[in-house]
Amino acid sequence: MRMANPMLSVKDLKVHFSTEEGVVQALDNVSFFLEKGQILGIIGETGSGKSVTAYTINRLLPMPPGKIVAGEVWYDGEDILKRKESDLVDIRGKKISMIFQEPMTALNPVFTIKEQMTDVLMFHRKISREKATKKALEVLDLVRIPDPAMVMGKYPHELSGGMRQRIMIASALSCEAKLLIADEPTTALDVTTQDQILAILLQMRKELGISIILITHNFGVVAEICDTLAVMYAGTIVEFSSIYKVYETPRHPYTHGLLNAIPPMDRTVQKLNTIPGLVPNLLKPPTGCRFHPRCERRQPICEKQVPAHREVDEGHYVACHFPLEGGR
Amino acid sequence: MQEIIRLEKLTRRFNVRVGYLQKVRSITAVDAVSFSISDGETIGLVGESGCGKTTLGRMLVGLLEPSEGSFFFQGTHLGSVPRKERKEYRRKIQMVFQDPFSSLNPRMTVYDILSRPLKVFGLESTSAGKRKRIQDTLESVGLKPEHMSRYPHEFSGGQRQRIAVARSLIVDPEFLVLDEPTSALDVSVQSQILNLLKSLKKTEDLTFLLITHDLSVSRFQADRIMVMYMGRIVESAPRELLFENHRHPYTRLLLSSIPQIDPRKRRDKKLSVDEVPSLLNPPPGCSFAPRCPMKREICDSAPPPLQTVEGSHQVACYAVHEKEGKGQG
Amino acid sequence: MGLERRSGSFSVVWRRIRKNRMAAIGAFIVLFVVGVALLAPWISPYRPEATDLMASLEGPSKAHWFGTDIYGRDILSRIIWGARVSFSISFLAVLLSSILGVLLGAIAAFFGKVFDEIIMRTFDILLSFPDILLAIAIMAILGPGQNNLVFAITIYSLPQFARIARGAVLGEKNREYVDAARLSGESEFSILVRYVLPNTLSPIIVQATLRVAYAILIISGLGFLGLGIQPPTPEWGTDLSVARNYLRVAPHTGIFPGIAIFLTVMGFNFFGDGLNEALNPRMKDR
Repeated sequence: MRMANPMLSVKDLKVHFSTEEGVVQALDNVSFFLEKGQILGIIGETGSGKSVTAYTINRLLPMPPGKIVAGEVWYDGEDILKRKESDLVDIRGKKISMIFQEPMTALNPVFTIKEQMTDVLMFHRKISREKATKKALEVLDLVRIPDPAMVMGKYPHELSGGMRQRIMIASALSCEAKLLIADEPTTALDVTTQDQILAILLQMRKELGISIILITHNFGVVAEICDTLAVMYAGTIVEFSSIYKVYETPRHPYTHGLLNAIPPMDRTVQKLNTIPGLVPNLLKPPTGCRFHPRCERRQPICEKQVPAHREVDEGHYVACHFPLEGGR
Repeated sequence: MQEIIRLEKLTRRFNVRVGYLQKVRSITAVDAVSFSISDGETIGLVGESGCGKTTLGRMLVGLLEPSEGSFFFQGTHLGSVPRKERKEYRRKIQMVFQDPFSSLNPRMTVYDILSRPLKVFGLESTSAGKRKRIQDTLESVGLKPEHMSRYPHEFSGGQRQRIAVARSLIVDPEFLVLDEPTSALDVSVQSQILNLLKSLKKTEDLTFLLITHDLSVSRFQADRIMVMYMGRIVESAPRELLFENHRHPYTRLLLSSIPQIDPRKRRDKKLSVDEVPSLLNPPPGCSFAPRCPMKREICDSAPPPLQTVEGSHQVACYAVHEKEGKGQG
Repeated sequence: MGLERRSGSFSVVWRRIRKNRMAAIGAFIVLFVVGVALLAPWISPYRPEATDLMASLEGPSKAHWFGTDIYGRDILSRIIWGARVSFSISFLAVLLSSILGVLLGAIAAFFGKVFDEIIMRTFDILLSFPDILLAIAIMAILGPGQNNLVFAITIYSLPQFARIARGAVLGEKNREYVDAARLSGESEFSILVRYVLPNTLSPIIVQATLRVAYAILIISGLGFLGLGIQPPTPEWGTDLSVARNYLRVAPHTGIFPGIAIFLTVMGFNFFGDGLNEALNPRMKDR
């Protein structure tokens, strides 16, 4: 049972990449939605397609070699996949903003923070340098940077990783986009710094009412701040529901295996559970359900037919022919 | 239990160039660290980036020379062993590196990678002997003989890490330093490798130093855990004790920052701005003092020594020792 | 993510070259010209020094496809044997300079400090002279002849190879597999030669290809100036120089050597660029 009009709705997204060695079927059967003010986590391992999904949503995916084969992305009342290349300036940065994993490479090392932030503001909002500076200071304060005026005058390399990430968040929010995509924002940070950045994201949701898509491979991160979770495997969404439901009653065998493979913090065990096998090569993905070669529960149909997303429980969607019963 | 490794005030400094004028300054990456490891133990050395754990590991395997202090292996002071004779000790102390993508030479086949150490250390004089040994080692890490002729790029990250483990085991070492062996791997692969390491330790009769920033990995593998912060050991305790009854405020901060995977156990977060001090300007006393909720005056005077709190549990903290002194546990 | 093909493996590189038109043309030219040079004794219709004063300065005909020069020598044969001369000198020179230059550059990068300073500053001195001036100076001192030419070309080519090798080794020497090799007990020198150098081959191969092209140009240039190969040995530059005097009456004597030089140098350059692209592919721009 979902609300009539979610803020972002991704339907049956299918994306291919042409490479030297053939066509990589990067995304298939990707569907999920995001309500206003929600924090959605997209979790997946390497090659799961989580970054590709994000870059497709804000149309940053280079279009060759990428190709959107099918699907829709509804945001703010329109399917933004239908927009022409030349028409995308509006979306990127202004309606949908993004922060990245490596704050050093996202920030230009030869410009001061002030220059970078005001450039962005002046471009998108068409305001003067003075007004942009004022706004930048406001937003730096929002992310709790001590002494924003001093920080503005510095270059990226003079600041710590945690500080740079805060600045990225501030910059992303300065144009008042309603949707923020965070692509592995804390992966390169220490655990104590990570905690602070996650706190900032939560605070921004509280104070500004923005929605966030948080992409990560770390289950702990999504458990700490996300409302809903989409689990990705080999380019497909295998499970999508509230974070509580996914954790307490994972219905997809992959989700179950993943949760059990995480070494526990609260007790000592003698052996860890594993998922046998390897992530598939997306040049020639497995037919039918992409997880079937590694799945204990597989049946002949799993190889033949791609499982559709079914609502196995209220608000709990699974793409599996034989979902688990529930409970761990 | 017999002691296999002993460090006495092991120190390592680096010269770095800072600022526009490129002035040379010295930072102390590892500061007078002393501890010992017993035969057959797994020590988990945990800390965040910059704490010196990797530098310490590299000193133990001989990739870096200590600036000060001594390192004893099986009773011998390695610093005093002349370079030419160090080879045999090299063989007994091996390392598994973090990045499976750059720790294997892209231009060598698996066979080459595994046969070179045999050749250099003079093990297995015949080609058939080498081949058999390589096959056996590959099997023990879960790979197959047909993998011998392939190149590293043909394998996944987890498989490459297995090759790296095979390389370190093939010379029959006694002590293995594992530097973040699973940090670059996906969760589902990580569990395979961690299981493998645990079982190999038993079958090959090894002693491990496991360097990691991930405490849950430490909990799974280690018998004893040491927490490092800015070049010093701040807490050292047997595994269960560390998790159930840690004392040092940094350990507490570390454990509380680790995200819980159970969303029901979410904690409220504080919006603090916490900056880690730079190694260029270390605090005069305890390096954690600027961030410490329990700080008192004495903390600025000199770094607190690592002292026993009870049994084999040691902490370097004035506040903790004060409590102990006053009889409060 | 799956497994990647090694970007340096032969089949992958060859496929990329085929796709890149310029590179494919270059590859074809290179193979053709080298083939001609190798097969010279069998495909050359006449002996290149065979004079026939009765047939002097004749235009292209059935008997002489490229015509004859002032001494009645068959130009086609001289072009074919000229290729052999050019290649034997340039290949040898590039081989010598690449081996020596790479070794020195690698040592400079790997062992650093004193080695780096001495080796690279010496090469900086060499680099401060324009190549052709250096070659002229050496030939002027030593006198003309094939061996001296090889020497001159080797000398001025050394610094480039050293630089490229140094850069590539600097990039590799801090990789973890180098540390792992130390733990395997390997000596520093063994690590440099067995582990690091094989990973630096790509830019060196490209440089070698381009250097051959440049060497041919220099050989021709020196020949043209009379400082290189001496007559009657067939060499494109020398022949071009002689042809200067007869351009008005018999332009073909200059055209064919000129085309030979042009085509060969261009072919090697295209091939070298293509090789560079193939070994280090970049993402196509939007």
